Parts: sequence; structure tokens; C-alpha cells
Amino acid sequence: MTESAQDLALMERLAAGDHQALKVLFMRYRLQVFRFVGRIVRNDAVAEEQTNEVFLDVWRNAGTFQGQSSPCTWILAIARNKAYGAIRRRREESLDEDEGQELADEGFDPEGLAMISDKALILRRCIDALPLEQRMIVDLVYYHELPVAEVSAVACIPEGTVKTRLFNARKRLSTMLLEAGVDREWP
Amino acid sequence: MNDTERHEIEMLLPWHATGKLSAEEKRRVDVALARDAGLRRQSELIGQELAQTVTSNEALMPPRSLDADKLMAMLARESKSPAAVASSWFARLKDTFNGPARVPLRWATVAAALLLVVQGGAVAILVAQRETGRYQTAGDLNGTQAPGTYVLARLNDAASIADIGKALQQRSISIVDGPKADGFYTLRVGGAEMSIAERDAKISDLRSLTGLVVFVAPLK
Repeated sequence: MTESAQDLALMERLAAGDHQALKVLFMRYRLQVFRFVGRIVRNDAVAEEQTNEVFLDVWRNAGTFQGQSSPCTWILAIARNKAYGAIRRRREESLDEDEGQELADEGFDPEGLAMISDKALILRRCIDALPLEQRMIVDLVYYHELPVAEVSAVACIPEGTVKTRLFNARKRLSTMLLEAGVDREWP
Repeated sequence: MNDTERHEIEMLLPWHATGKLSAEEKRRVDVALARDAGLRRQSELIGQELAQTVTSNEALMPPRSLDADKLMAMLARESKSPAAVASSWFARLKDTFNGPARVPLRWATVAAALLLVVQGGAVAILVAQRETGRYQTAGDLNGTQAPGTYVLARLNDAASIADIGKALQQRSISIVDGPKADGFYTLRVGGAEMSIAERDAKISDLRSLTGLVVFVAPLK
């Protein structure tokens, strides 16, 4: 049986209440989900907790899966919602405790980066320092290798916005790299 | 190529790098890349961005405690079973496709009615097996399956035979196998040379036939 057919069969077994099917689905997608969530929440403990929550939601909602996207895309869409929910809760808690600074995006330190000679490492640091909404699209396209329509489904934005957001992220990377002393000669 | 067209191409370059464009989009980008050194430079930069994004993602490893046993323990505390969801999509599909006698009869009629042109010009005649409710292609009868690109699909049993036949025929798509026990059909959407992007474009097109096709996924 192909991978796609296996996923569909697993979804069907899930909808019928088969615990073992969730276990197999978890083993198949836990790494992908953990990384996707982890890159959003930037906290391993929260990422672990939310990854478990994603699969519990997959279990709870298997009966509503319509098959209009692949099971993988459907799971990543749930993961996005869980990760954003976790960020909102942490932000509320941090504001209560006046620790909002903790939730700022990973710091971009051009002067520090300028001391690094490895251009690939500088680029990686700049990608990691992109604003969340841009970084998520970068991850979905480059790492998860989703086509435009599937990125749109996971990110809950129109396909045109997906393209524009990635283009703007790429331009921003050039600006960040220039500040760190690396001229990509684009745009 | 005017500025608007060039900008459209620029925005497609990341998906060109991951092989996730439709055949038409890929052709447009290929033509533009051949003519425009600036676009080729961007394409190189995208390759670097892609490599570093993958490295950054792969550096994130889950803790050992993220294991299936822990999830199963959490699941055991769940009171709600997805099976309790009323009228689930799967249950409806099972009723639709696996109901006694009804499905084989209906789809035997479809198979008898359809003479579908397989991409490339060959003609596949679907042969209904009334006893088993399964179809065979001419290739199957010879014990072989023609080389090609295949997808897995569930068709809407409520749709009319004429509509399904017309839609598939217009797209040079043929039913080559099914229904399987789980209600899936195998559709041949193109030749073996078809790219992943072209296959995905076919899948997107099939998914747009919301009244006719319930589900489509690639067969790898």
C-alpha cells in the first residue's frame, strides 16, 4: 500500500476509534509536527506538550476529516492552531508577570553576525530571526515542501498572500544579511 | 517579459526549487530563467535559503519523552471517541461505496458506459466484474498495468454517470482499478513521464470537481 493510501486508511481507522491507528500516525508525523510547532513556539517543553495536543485533536476530530487536503496538511493546520494558541496563552501569562520581552522573536544581532565568517551560518541565523508569520511560510515551503495551495490551507491565508509573504521574507533576508555584512546583490 | 510578468515569475521561484509547480507554471519559469540572468541569480539564492532552512529545522530534535506510550496514556483519559461523531465522512463513504449489491451494480453500469481515453492515445476499456464489483483494464487482463502516473480517489456515488464520465474524459483520465475494499479507485492521470508538479496540478483539478470527486491523493 502506498504512503498516501496508508495515511487515508489510518484516518479511517481513527474515525472508527482505533487507538493503534493514532499510534502509527504519531510515529509517522511526530518529528514533522514537533519541528513545525517548535519553530513557532521556540520552546521545547511547549512544543512537546503541543505536539501531544495536536495528535489528541487529530483523534478527536478524525470524523470530520473531509479529505480535501492530505492528512499531513490537515495535521499541520491543527498544529499551527495549537502553536498559536500556546503563544497567545504564554503572552497573556507573560503580560501578567510583566515579562513580555520573553516572547520577542529571536534577536537579530547584525553586529554579532558580522563577526561570523561562515556565510551559510549567517543566513541560517537570519532565517531564524525572521518574524514568525514570514518564517512559518519559509518553513512550510522549503522544509515541509508544500505547494502553494497547501501552504494556504495550513497558514489560513489566500494563495496570493502566501506568494507575497514569501517574496517579502526573501527581500527582508537580503536586508538583514546586508546589515550583517553579506551583500547578496538582490534585490 | 514586462515587469508584472517578471514579478509573477519571481514569486514562483521558491516552488520551482521544490518541484511544486504545475506543468504550465514550470514551463513559464523555465523559459524566464533561460532568458533572465537576474532570475537565475535569485534561483541560486533560493537554493541557499532552502538548504539553510532544512538545516535549521533538522537541528530541532524532539525530547525522548515525546513518545507514543505517553500519548496513549493521555488518550486513555479521553472520554470522547471519534466514532461517536455523528455521520462521519468515512461512515457515509462506507455506506455509499460498500453497501450490499448497490455499489457493484451502479459502477458496473459506469464501467460499461465509459470508454475512457488514456493519456497518450491508448484506449482502456473498463471491464466490469459484476460478481466482484471490481473492474479490470485491458492491461489488467494481460496481468500487467500500463506505465503511468496514478492517483487514489473516491468518487461521489451520488453524482451522475454522465457527469463523471464527461469530467474524466475531458481530462484524459481513466479508472484503472477499484472499487477496492475501502472504496478507493485508482485513476490513471498521465504517462510515466509526468512530473510531480504536473501530477499535483491534475490532483488540484480533480479536487475542484467537488460534486464528483470526494477525495484525491497521489499514489507514490
